[in-house]
Amino acid sequence: MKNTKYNIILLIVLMGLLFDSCEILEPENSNTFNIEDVESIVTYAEGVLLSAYNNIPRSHTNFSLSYACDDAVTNDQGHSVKTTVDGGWTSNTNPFDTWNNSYESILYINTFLEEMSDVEWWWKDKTTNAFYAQRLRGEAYGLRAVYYFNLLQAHAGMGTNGEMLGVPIVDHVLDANNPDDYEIPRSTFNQLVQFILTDCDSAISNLPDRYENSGTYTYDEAMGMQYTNRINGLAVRLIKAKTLLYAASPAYSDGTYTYQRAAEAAAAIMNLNDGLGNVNFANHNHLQFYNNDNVVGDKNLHPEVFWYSAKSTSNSWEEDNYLPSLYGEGRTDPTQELVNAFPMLDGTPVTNAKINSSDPYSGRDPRLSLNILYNGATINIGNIININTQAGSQDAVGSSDPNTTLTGYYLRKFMNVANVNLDPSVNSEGTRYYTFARYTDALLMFAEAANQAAGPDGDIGGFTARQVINAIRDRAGITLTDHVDGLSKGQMTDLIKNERRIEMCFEKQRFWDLRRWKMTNEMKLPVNGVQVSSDGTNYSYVTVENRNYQDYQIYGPIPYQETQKYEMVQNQGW
Amino acid sequence: MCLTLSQALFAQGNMGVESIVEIPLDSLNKEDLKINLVLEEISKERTTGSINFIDAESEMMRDSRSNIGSAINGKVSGVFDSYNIWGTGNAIIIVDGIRQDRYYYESLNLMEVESIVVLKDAVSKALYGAQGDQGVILINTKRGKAGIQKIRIRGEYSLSEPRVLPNYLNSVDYMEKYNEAQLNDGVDALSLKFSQELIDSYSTVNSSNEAFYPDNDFYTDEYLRPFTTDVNVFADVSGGDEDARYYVSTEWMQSDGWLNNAIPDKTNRFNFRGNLDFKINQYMKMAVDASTRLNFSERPNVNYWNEFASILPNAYPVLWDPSIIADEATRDMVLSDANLIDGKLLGGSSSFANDQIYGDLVQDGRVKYQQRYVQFGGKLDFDLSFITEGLAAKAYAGMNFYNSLFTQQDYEYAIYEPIFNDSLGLCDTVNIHGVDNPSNKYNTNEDNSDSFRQLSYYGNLTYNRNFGLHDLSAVAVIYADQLTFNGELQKDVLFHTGLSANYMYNKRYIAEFSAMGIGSRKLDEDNRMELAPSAGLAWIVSKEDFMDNISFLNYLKLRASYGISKNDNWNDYFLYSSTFRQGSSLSYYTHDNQATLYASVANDIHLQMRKDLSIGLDASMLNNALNVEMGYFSSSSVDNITLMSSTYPQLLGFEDLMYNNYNSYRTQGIELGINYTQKISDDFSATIGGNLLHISPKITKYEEPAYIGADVALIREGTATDAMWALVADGLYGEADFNADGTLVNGLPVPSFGAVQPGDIKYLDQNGDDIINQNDQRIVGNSNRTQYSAYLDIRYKNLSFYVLGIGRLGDSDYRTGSYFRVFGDIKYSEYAMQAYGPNNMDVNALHPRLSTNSGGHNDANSNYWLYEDNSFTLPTMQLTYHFKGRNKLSFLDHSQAYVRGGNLVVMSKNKNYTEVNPNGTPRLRSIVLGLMISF
Repeated sequence: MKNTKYNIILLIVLMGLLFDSCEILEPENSNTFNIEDVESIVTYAEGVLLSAYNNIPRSHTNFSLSYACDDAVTNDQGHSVKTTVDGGWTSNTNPFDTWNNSYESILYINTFLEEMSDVEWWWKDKTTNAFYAQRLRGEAYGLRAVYYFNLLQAHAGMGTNGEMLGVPIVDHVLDANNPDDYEIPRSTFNQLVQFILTDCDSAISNLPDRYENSGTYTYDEAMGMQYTNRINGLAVRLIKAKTLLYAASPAYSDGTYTYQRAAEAAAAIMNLNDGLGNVNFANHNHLQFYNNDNVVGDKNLHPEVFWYSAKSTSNSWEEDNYLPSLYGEGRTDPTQELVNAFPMLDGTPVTNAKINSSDPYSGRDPRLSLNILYNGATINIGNIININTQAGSQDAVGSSDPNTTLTGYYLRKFMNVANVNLDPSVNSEGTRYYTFARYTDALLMFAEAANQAAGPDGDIGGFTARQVINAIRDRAGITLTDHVDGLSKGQMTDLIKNERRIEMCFEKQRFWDLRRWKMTNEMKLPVNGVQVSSDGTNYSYVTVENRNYQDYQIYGPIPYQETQKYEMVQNQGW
Repeated sequence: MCLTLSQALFAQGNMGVESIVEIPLDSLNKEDLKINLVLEEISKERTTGSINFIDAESEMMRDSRSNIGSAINGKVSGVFDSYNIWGTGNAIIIVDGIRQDRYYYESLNLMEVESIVVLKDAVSKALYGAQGDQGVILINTKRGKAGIQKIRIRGEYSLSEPRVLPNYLNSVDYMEKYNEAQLNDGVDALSLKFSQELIDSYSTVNSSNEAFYPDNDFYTDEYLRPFTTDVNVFADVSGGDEDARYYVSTEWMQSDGWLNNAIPDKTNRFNFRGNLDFKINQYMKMAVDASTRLNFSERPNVNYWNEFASILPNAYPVLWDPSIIADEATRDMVLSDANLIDGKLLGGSSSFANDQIYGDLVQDGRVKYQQRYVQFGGKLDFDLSFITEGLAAKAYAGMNFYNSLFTQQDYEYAIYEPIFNDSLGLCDTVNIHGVDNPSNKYNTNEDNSDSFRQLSYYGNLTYNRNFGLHDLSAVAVIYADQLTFNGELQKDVLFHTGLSANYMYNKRYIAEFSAMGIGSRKLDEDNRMELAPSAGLAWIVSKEDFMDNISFLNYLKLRASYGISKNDNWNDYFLYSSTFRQGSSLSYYTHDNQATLYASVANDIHLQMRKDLSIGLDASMLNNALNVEMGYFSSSSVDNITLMSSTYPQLLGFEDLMYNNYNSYRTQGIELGINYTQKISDDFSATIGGNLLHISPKITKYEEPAYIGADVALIREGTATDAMWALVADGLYGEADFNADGTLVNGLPVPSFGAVQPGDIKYLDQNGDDIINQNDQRIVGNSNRTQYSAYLDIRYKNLSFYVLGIGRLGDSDYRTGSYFRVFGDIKYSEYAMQAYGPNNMDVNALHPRLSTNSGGHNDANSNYWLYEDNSFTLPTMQLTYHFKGRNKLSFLDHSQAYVRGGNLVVMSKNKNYTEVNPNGTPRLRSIVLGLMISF
């Protein structure tokens, strides 16, 4: 009996030992790791910088900035921009906000710059290791310039305190436990410009203009062709020129940054890229820079495309934007205003008198048909398709198809018509990539800045504005230069703006260009479309959408929530 | 009601007169009642918190509904619906000491349940640790009792019919309304989807052309049975002696589904339980429990309620008569291969070429869904009185296994599309889509299949002793439970250990105290255990000498408790450390690499807390005929883990990883339970009773933007937790609100959800910024704040009658879903007829203008869609005949026969919104016949 009692006590003690609270409260190992792991494993360390690539704006994933300016409208009634253009653009509801994405990427860049300076990138030899470290630092500075430029474009502006302001400059990883560290006030506009320029210069001094193989293994391993798709020197120079151009533009300029500097920065790119040697009709296909077959080969040494994303195969852009009869959703509907911006083939602007009222698209700048699908246009998607937007057709304005156009036009630019056929029985895909930086942007920035600084014929860096514009129009197929040659500086300014609109349409430029040019009237004009009669002879023009903007909306707002967290000056009007 | 009845009373059976039904009447305050809390046993009079007890067997004598919830809802004070204690959310359900999954406890039959205990405040639920955050509902299953063997067999048969079925538009109405929607969207009148000619043709439909003018209504006999039937058979056996006792039960249930003329949809459930107790030696007892739950359902391979609610009335002819094919050769060709249904062909159209509803119901194969639940448990009881008197110990280990398997067949079948020849006015062509291709193979659908396993342990040491005027009981407990879900990295682990003690002096002063160490895997290694203390006091006033003269008062206890419980009911595991993870793969030219992302940043966090205060009294008066329990409670859920997104600026870049213990909520309320029994004659008595719960929930601390100006009205802190924030509407826009060019007249605020036109909802600009956006939301309503119930229990000779009514007040709801909000290219319900339109230009119309686009502007929640959801229902009403043995049937003592009505009465001002369930099984009313034989 005594034994039983002892056994019972022993049993209870043993069972008590089975409970190991330390063991049961230990969480399973998850697939996360700490900063020491990041520093010691090269792919993790580089991954920190790659995270900053995640938020590079994919300029064609949507065209919402063209729906918000006078270039296009969308038939997507639920699209956030619909209310924006109708007076609903507020600091709380801002589809053009880049704040969060930019600062998130800047965190990764700062983490990289602070924590990864001692990483051994290439243990096999020191030279290659040094090239690795140099390139990655260069990329980090270049990307930071990109993100601060995006912040400048969307959020800098005239503060309620009457000062021209930038955004808070975060140049290190912030300490979340120390408000003194993270409650950073907005910089002045000029401080922000200076910060971007400094980052650009750091990047330029570390990065090759393009990633090419030299034949020397120690260099090629760290700086060679395999890094195509990473940001390079030319792309950074483009950001630098653009920052200077914005700083010299009417909306921002206080005289600190001049058009002369912007023109010089753009000319530097031209001098690194064979000037106007490639800008001629022989390279007409550069207008379709987004089309793999025309432009990007295996090397990124193409004169037009500086920086682009990795290629992939898809048909989603076409699903969004093809005509309903081609199984698309017709999302991007170009406006009559954009169509009218394309001049006549002789280079003169469109007037009612010049166009044939029953055939308004004949005798026009060839760029019109490369960018926009209109009634009577043709495309070849394996078989020739005649675009028909005449009343009664499926693709006409007001047809019962919910995906039909609102303006009478459809998007042609960026469509891979040669390879993508959405017919369910075919459903083919095509190669695509995003273009982040291209030469034409530099040419147009040069023309704009040089014309302002030195007039149409003033030489900056070996080029003149008139020369550049004529070359661009020649590439497009407008061989006559009479019109351009006769323009004064002021007329030239308008023409350059128009060329920029045409060449860079649907590339997220014009919405901000109108604003930095302070063109408040233009940004408020209603946009129009065309309705074609059923016999295709009568073209009538109707207002499609209003643009209800206020003058103060030349600058974007600081996100409302961010102004509530600590003292941060909002832009005027918001 | 509360505290239905104790076995003590049952055993006494001393209701006096033989002819009255010998089932015990209610008593709220059976203070000598022993309450089995599994981890300890305590008499009701020694508790200081808010506890309710339900004796399942006596409850079933008058209301034989067998699911657990039906023994709680409306019958216990302080609980909303079945499981929501004090309005803090659903309580944890603990069966025989271990938490159980919903599937399991909802499959329990009250017949196999001994008692249900509802533990509401911190001191009462302390032994159950973190899982008891929102209260604990203990379910104790039956065990064998020493004595004679007892066998019970119960059969139930029920008939259920829909209270209401959805009402969708017929083809003509649908087409007309769809055209109206297209006109609203700016479609040209000549381009409308349905021509007037087509609509007019419907007036000439006859048997020869009906295939071309389909008008399908799925809520008819052709598809649905008018009612469904369920059969439930339950049997149990119990008995044994002092050394070995047993309880074994088994149950079979079959529900026949709704479909007529289709692959049947039915569910079969098999349950089994065996609870065995043995005595090993004079110090040790052992219990071995096992139960299984098996559920098998099968149905056609189509979600038919959804299909019925979405297939347009004019989509295609479901079945059509091949005799309309004019050309004989064509007809013979078609019929040579066809699988006819009642001599008809499955119809379709070019857009419905792959499946059609009748084909899916009849020829698309089956879906089988199987759920299996197996539970084992073993327990050792040690009598340690040889160490010191009153000492005992207990150790339990158990496992649960669950898996579900979803398999389906995928048949193909041919669809026949009749083509109408306009010029000849007849059908001369048939397009045949697909071929008949039955396949017997069942494929497993992994997404719908699931499994988990659960391992549970607990041990305790109890000490119960009386020292003259002093009664002391104490328990030390250690408790662990881990749930491992298929496909989830982290186990769901509970661990706590601690002490609870109860002291009573002179049978009238009671002090209770507990201290639990709560463990968590979501805290830093050095801080994984936190202390949760609680305490309570009670005073049985009626036992004081000075109360002797107050004769009407038989019993009065005052009680109060306060305590803290803690939990780690948040999702993320590593909030306390800075970690990185690999993100998506990025392609760069010839190679890919993964991004490295911040996964967490070190946050200084601790366990979430709940602070419960409970003050109450229990009283019996008028010779125990009137019983009352009432209480006030305040339950605060504080320091909840909160993403501090409005505090930390986005400049940080990792502000979406910043968590703190922050948001806090408090629910205050009152609970009341009362009953009164009147004996009218020797064989006639009546009891009425009721329960009331009213709460006032409030946000006491909230992480939110620092609103300024007019937007301070958006501050959540200080408002009700259950507040419904929505836009405020002033009816619809009318013609007068717009200029000729379609723009809003000057002065009207601009909506930011898309362009508007007459017939769209007109929201108010609350903050005066001339823009309608989310900042114009205000509180428009709140959820259920009050639940009241009343019941009547009449006993007359061998008959008893019981009826329960449950009401709720203060509840608001939105009309939601495509049935009430008819937007887009969908099936139109009757509400499309109420829409603002050319024939109904009423700015107060019940539905905004129709549109073929998605709702957009109109689909935002606003008080336009709000309705008051107060209701009063009679969930049960039962007449029971109790076999009373004084004759040849005396061996059938405690047997009964009954008829019960379920949900026969539903009263609500807005029944038309609450009663219809468009995408699922209709809400039901039912009649049940039952017989229970006990011998």
